[in-house]
Amino acid sequence: MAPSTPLLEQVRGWLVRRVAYYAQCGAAEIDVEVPLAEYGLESVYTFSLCGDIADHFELAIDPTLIWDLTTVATLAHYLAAVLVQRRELGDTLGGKGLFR
Amino acid sequence: MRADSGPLIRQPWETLRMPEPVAPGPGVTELDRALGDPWDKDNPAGFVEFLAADERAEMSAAGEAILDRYGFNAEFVPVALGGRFARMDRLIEVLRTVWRRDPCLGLGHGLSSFIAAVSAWTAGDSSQRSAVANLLLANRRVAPVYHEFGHDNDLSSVNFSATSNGAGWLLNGRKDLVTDVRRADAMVIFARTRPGLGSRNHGQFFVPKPTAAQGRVRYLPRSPSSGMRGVRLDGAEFTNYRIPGESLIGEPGQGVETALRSFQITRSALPGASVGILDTGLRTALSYVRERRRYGGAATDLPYVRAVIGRAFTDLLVVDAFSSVAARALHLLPGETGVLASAVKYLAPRVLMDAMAELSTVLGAHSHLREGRYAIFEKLARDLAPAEFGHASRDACRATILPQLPRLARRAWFNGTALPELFWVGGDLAPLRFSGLVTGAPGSDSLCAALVDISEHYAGASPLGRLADRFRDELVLLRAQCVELAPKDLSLDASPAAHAVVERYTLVLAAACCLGIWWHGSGHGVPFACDETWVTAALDRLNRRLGGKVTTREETRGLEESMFRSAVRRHDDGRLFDLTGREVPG
Repeated sequence: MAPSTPLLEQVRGWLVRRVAYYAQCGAAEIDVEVPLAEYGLESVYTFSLCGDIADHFELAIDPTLIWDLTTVATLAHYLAAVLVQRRELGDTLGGKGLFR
Repeated sequence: MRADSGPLIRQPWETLRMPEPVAPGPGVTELDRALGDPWDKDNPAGFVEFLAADERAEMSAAGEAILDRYGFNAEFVPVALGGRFARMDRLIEVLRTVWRRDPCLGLGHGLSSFIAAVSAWTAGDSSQRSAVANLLLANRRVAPVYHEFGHDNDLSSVNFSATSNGAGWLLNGRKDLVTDVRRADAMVIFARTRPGLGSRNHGQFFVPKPTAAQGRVRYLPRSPSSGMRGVRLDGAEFTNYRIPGESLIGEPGQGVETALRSFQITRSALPGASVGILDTGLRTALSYVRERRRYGGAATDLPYVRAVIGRAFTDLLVVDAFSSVAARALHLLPGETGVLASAVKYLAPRVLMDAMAELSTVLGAHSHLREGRYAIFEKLARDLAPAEFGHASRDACRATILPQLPRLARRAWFNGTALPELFWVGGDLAPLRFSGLVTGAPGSDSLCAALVDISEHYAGASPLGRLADRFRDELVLLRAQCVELAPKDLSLDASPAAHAVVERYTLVLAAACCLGIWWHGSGHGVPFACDETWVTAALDRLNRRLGGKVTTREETRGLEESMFRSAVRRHDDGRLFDLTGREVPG
C-alpha cells in the first residue's frame, strides 16, 4: 500500500534537514533526486545519518540502506512505506508499544 | 639466579589456569612444542634462524615447514569447511604463539591468507568457500590484493577495475602492495565494478593463480620494507585479464560492505597477535637486566628498571584485556563490533609500541644491535610498526569511530546494560557466525555500560575505586563534548580536539575491559578475576595516557613494584605474560 502523502512529506522534510546539516548547507540547496554522495555524504556521514534515522523513526536499519537508496526521494519513500506498514501491523495487533 | 630483592609473593591469580579451549585437532600447546624454545641456539626455528632470515629479507623456510606440518593454515578455515576456526580467542592464541617468535612468519605464512579468505567466509558461495578452504588446508597461499598507493585504506576510491563483458569480467589496473603475490596460489582481488561515487561500486574476486592464457599480469618490483622485512611486498599490474563470471564474491556492489563486515575479524585479531611481540620484548629485557650489574649493584635493584618492567607487563595485560573482550564481542555482540574492532585496532598497537620504546631504554645499546643475544628485540620492534598502519591505519580507524560517537553519547553510554559474558575471558563461546557481522551503526555500547555499572557499585577511597570514578567522569565529559560535535568534526578534516575525543574514548573502552574482567570474571575461571593489583595498575597506566592525577606517587610506585615482581615470577616459571599465563618453552 502506498504511504500517505503527509507522512511522506514529513519524512522527506526531515531527511532534507538532516542531509543539509551534514552537507553543511541550507535545506533549500538539497535536491531530493540527487545522490547523497554528491553532497559529500560519503561513508563517514552514512553512519551518522543511519543512526539519526534509526533513532528518529525507531527503526533498526543498517547503513547499507543509504548505499542502496541513494537519494532523499528514494529513502523517504522507503521509510514512509515502512512506517505505514508498522502502523497497520500495530493497529491489527491492537498493540500500543509493540509496532509503534 | 635471582637478581631481584625481597620475597616474591605469588598472587592468587597466578596459580589459576584457563580451561583449555575446545577445538578440533592439535592446538596451541602442540604448536609451541613444534616450534620449540626460541632462545635455544640449536633450535632450527629459533631466534638465530629468524634473525638470519630477516637479514636476508626472506621468510624462514624452517619456520614455514614447521607451520605447514602443524597445519597452521587450518586455523583460518572454519570448522564446517574442515579447518579449526570457530573461536576468536583460539585464533589469537595461536597467532600470538607465532608472533612472539617471528611476526613475519605469522603474517606472511598465515594471517595474510586469512585476510583474503574472510571475504569468502563472509560473502562467498559454497564453491568459493570450499575452493579457498581446500587451498589453505593444502598449505597453499591466497593473497589479499587490495592496496593501491593512491587510496591507501579508502576502499571506495579504489580504481583497479573489473568490467563485466557478459560471460565474465575483465581486470585492469595496478595494485601496489600485495603480500607475496608470486608465491600465492590464488588471489582475492578488490576491484571497482562500476564508476561513480559511493560504496556500492566494488567487489572482491576470487582468482586462482594467473595463467598466461587469460591475459597479462605483470609483477612489479618488490617494495623493500623496514619492519616485517621477510614478508615480500610485490605489486601486480593486470591488463585485460579475463576471469569467469562466478569469480565475483557475493552480489555486485557488495565489496565495501563485505570488507567492513569481515575485516572486523582480522582487525581484532592483529592487535591480539601483536601482544606476542611485547611478550618477547619484555622477556628479552628481563633476561638482560637480570644478568647485569649496574652502579655496583644488580640492575634489577634500580628503581627505574623495576618500574619500566612493571609498566610494560601492565601494558601487555591492558592490550590483552582489550583485544580479548573485543574478540568475545565478535561472538556475543556483533552489532557493536563495527566500532569496537576499530577501537582496538586504533589504540592497542600504539600502547604496544610505546611499551617497546620504554623497554628499549632498559636494554640501551642492545635495543639497537642486530647481532648478539638480544638482537631479537630490535627486529621485533621493527616488526610491530606495521600493526599500526597496516590493515586499517590509525586514521582509518578514527574515521570509522568518530561519526558514531555523537549518537552513542546521546543514547548508549549511560542507558545501557552490561553483558557479563563479554568479560569471561577463556569461557564458553558459540562458533563465530560470519552472517552475524554487520557494517553497523551500533545503538548500544556494552563496554561503557559496564564501566558505568561497575563504577556505581564500586565507589570507594581505594586507588581502584578512585580510578573507576575517574573513567566514569571522563565518559561524562566525553558525552558533553560528543553531543556537541559538528558535522565538520566528524569528517577526515576534523579538528585536533575531535581527534583527541577518539583517543579518550578508546582509553575508556580499554579501562572498561580491564574493570569488567576483574568485576565479572569472578566464578568464571578468569585467572585475574580475584586480584585487584593488576586491574588497578592497568587503570593507572591508561589514566596516565588520559592525563590528570588520581593515584599518589607512592601508590603508583607500589603498583609498578608489584607488577615487576609478578613479571619476574612469570619469567622464572617460563610463562606467558598475557592473561592466560600459559607455560611455554622459552
